[in-house]
Amino acid sequence: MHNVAAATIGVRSDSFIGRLNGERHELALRLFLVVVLAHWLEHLLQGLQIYVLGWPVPESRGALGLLFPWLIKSETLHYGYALVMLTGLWLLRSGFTGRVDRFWWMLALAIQFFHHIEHGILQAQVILGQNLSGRPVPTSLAQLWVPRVELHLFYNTIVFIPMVIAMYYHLFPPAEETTRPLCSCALHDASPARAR
Amino acid sequence: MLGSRTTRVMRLVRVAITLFVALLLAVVTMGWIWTGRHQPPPQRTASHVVLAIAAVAGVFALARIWRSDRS
Repeated sequence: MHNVAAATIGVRSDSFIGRLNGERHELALRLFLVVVLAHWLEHLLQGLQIYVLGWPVPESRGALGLLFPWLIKSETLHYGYALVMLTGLWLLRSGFTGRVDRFWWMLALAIQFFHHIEHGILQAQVILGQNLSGRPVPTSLAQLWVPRVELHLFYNTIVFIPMVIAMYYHLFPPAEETTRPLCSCALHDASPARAR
Repeated sequence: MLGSRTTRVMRLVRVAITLFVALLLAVVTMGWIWTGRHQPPPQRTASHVVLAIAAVAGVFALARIWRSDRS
């Protein structure tokens, strides 16, 4: 069953990518979600530190940034996370075989691609030692208009929302969805993939 | 018809997403107020635009997941 479905999207079921989007898709998505939520926790905590506790913006570094201040100042770390996010969305996309879940997952991937470019621009400024528009700190394109904290809250939201909708529809496919899944993620009453 | 286990999991997932979006909306609301008080007009407007879009995206997600149905 998996071989047939995998062949329809051009993935060998015995390859690493094939297994990741087949029998290991459920586990991989869970791990990916844990990573994404941990990152979210940092951003939400930073929001609380600034908006509720009234901490100065440079001092509001989430949880990890309080313990390791260099972490949040490192553009490499931010770029690295953007790359992890982009890679995860890319690697796990083939498992989204339905019409609806695939649309939302690919939308998240497209938005994250742009988000990653923004972080790439920040990283490039650090490497080149020259900031955009003569700014005192590395500045992304959208950051020319929008302050960094609010901008990244925005970016993370517009990537995460379609990703969550995709995961929801992947777990609970709409009735009209007829594509056979590669993985065991979907919950069906009498799913062959579930009846293990 | 959905089995009872599937229904329970679906409800649990919906509630978890709702709680996350509620937290997001709370932070966005506080952000809206804070940026209104602490940022100069051009930055404030830009912040309000992106925060509003984030809020709309969150509400949209809730509408999608709570209104979706399976047979």
